[in-house]
Amino acid sequence: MTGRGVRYRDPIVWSVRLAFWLVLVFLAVPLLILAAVSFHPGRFMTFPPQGFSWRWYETLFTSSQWLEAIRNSLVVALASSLVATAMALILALVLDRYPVRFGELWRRLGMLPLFLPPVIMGVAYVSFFYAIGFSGRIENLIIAHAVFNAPFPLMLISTGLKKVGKELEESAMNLGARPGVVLRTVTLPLIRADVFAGALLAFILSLNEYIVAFLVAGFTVVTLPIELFASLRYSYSPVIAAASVVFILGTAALVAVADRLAGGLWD
Amino acid sequence: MAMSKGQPVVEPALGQAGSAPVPAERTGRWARALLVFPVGMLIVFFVVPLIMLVVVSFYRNIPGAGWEPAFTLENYVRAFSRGLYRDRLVYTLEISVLNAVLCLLAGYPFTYFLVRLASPFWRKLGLTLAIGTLWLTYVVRSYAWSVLLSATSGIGQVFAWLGLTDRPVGYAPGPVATVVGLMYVFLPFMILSLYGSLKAIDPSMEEASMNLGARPWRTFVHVVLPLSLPGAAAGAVMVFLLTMGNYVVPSILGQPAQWTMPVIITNQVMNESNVPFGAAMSVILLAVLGLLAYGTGRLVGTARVHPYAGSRVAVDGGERR
Repeated sequence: MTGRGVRYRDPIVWSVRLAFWLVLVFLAVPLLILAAVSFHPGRFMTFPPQGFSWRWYETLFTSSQWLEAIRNSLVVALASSLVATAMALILALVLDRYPVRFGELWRRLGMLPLFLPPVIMGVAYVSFFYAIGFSGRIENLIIAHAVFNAPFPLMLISTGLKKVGKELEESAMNLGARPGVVLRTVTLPLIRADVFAGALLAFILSLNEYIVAFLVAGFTVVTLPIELFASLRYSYSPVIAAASVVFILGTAALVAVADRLAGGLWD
Repeated sequence: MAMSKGQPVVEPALGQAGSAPVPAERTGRWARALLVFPVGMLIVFFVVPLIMLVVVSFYRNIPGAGWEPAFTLENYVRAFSRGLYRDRLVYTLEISVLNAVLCLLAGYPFTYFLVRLASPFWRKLGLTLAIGTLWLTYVVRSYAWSVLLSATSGIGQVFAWLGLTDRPVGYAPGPVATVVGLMYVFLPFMILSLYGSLKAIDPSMEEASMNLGARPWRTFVHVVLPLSLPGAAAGAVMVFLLTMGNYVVPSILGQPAQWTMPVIITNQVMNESNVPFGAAMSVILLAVLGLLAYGTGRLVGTARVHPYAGSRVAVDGGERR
């Protein structure tokens, strides 16, 4: 290759290489500093650091305030991801397999929440729930997150159905299986990974969502991001860093599982 | 059922599913009945709230006692006539453009180097690291920067230790922290968008150009850059639109001078309890975003301008529209 020698001496090539490493450092350092602060025994992180301690994690998992926030977050994320996945599964399955009037319109409507800035959706929910006299309930937040996150399972399940195709279902039908049996024994097992991956994404997004949750029920239902935000307004404490690290690890683990589930299908 | 179209029609079908046989038609009706749940949810809890947003934006605010139904334009008049709100809208547009440009400048060389890595393992690892933070709540990512840029626990300590400053200096909250934080949270979207289009360029094209005697810079300008332009433009538009709608970063990392429209809107709703005015500003922001998305969508191609389209790549490792 004649270009090889030129490439490595060229200053442009070197600056691209440098930019690559700079961006990687830029992406990683903020998260590393959180880990450092969370394990630092003192209230403030000094440089160079002075020792190692689990005390902030102990505070986190023994504080009723933080545990309550974790519990609320898990309840909302679990319930909303179930509703979102049920919506997405029915929508994707029926629209893909049956002729439906305005089918394309419903699919687009299902995807539309993705395009709206969450803060605007939040104010819309404030207006709506206040107008019907049903404000600040945890149910509101579950519904809001379900509708807002449904596009992700919808996207995954629709893609899964397209990849699976209809041949296997047709074979089952030709062999005399009734539609209900085909759905239960052929279609659903084939798209199971997509359904789980979609549910997991909806769960992760709900767990991480701040502004819709704050607007819909911020004063009554304190989720983990809301508690984090509020604590950093009122105090500087390494407990926030410990909570963040727990959050980062939890999210990373869930994303890895979702990635494996959705990716496994295409292997 | 659609799948049995090829079979002989047993009986004229009910409903509008023209040619399906009877048993399938029965399950078809049942299936369509199930649609009431998702479609009902979307209409009641998505379409209706958006209509309510517009309706409430014309209501009159009663300080301390909610609102009263009315048809008044005073919220819109207030939003347009006060310099404060006009300035905030202009500032939001400016910082969103700035962020799109910065993400493009940082993301382009990074992604170019990433797709040219020889080993698929390192490429996958690099991409995972680059976009891994995408799922993490803005609150934690902003907080990380507020620590990193603080005087007490951040780089201020390092600078002081190195003797660059007499005592530790903090940069958060402030303009620097806001710009850096916005860039941090939206850079992954830019990288995802660029990754797709840079990956699609065959390296043999560059080699051909080099073998014909073009120097790297010329090869880049005439071969790589034109081919990657759609991905770069789509990424920039995506980052711009997402920055316009972000609340968390400017409110954690900014002082009031760095507050964008979403912060102003949320403060009106939550602190001032003035929902009608917040709703009016939301409608204005939505209109501005809609116009910009439509305009840029026509330039770039609508399908690509999609705030989260990129996240599909994170999930299934490659497919994009």
